[in-house]
Amino acid sequence: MTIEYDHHSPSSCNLFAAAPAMWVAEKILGEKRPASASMHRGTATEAGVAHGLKDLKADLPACIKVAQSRYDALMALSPDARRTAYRGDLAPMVASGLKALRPYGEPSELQGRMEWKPDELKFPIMGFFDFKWAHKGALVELKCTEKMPSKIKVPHARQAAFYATSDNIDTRLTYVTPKKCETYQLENIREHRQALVNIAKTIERLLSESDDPQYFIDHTIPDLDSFYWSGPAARQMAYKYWGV
Amino acid sequence: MSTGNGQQKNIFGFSTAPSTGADFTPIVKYDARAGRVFRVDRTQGVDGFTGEQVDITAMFRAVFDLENVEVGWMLFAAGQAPSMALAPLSDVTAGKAFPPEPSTLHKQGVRVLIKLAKACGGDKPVREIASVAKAFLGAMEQLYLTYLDEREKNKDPNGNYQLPVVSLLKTEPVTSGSGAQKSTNYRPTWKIDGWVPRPDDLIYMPAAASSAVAGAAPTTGSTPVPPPPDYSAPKHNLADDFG
Repeated sequence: MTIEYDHHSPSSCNLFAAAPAMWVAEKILGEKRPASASMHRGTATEAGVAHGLKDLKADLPACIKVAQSRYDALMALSPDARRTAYRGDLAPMVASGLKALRPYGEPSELQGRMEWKPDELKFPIMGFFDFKWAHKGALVELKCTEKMPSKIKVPHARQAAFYATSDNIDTRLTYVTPKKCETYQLENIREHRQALVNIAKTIERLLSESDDPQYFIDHTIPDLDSFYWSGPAARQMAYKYWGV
Repeated sequence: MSTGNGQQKNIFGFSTAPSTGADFTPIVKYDARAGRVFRVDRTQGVDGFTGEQVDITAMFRAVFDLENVEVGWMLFAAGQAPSMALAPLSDVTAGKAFPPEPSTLHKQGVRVLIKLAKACGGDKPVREIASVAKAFLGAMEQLYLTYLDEREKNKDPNGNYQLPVVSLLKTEPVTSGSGAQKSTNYRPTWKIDGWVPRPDDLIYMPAAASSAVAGAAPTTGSTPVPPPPDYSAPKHNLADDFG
């Protein structure tokens, strides 16, 4: 097996920081982490909100339908027991997301691709931001979560800072739960962006140590209490590669 | 829109693409020891980024965003990004607390976003000017007071406030200290040449986005915010200098 790692992403860097063994499983061993109902709920909510922002006249039921269709497609083969409950969350989450973001008007850009290779890194960092309003100098990342945070989560700050690109962009995180919606302004963009670079540098240092995937298995261990390893497929993967 | 290869359209009139690793608000520097205004253009070389100082003293002219002046504490230390803890001047004058002093090394200063005129703006006309130099601060205070006095009578035809177009009239030496401590700085005299609607790309962003205190872990943000305002405004002739 050869290691095929040729770019970083904010989510990859955040995964490396949060769960190095899962990062090894995904990026070194090529294993696919089974997506949860929670992840799919987020993806589907974003699809519904994006539909309502691209077409400001689209009525709410149509936007919810977009979200539900996306969710149903993503969850078609998922054994996740929460699938029905989370499907019910889509309507309030899309509604509150649109209530928060429609006053911004139509975004100038959705899912914009960003790529940046600092001199200090061997590989570029690549990613896609959610929504940008160039005429208002605003960029928003939409995050769906079970519980409303009182401040921007650090991994989200690193991700959004990467997309900010400039102090002149008002960068925001809009958090949506089934019951609440809140938008926070990102602070200290330069520092969070540099933190992302620092994580990427650590990844590159680690990668430079060996071309043998087994080396990385031998130097990490899964935390089975972490939600990253909570699903049955992930649990089996931990046993297969790490014997735990 | 992003193009297929990830390059971005020049929406703001200056690049927002993260290709340099240091694409943050460029600066204009007022060198109080020389009484000169420099546009600092950062360029990437084999040894990293270098700042080329372009003397624009004679041709200096800019729209000053005096609606959003920030005051607080600043530390300009060699080899590291400036550390700033700032608050909007409007908040401070309304009675809100001045930002706490991050360290004994920080000094009180002022930050203003400006848009340089075409003649001196280079390819990145929207910049920030910030300083802790007493000579600079005294002149900024005078300019700000003039702005407050005159902005009412310089609204646009729709009754909206406009921003002043400012040039550098002269600089005058100010000597302080005595003996070995004696030093001479140059105090600028700013002149308001006219008033224009806010340029579309002169978008106020609080320095809070880059205000990490030296040595302290950066905060992420816990301030709920409403939708941003729309900065589009009608133009007239003087504004063409900044279009």
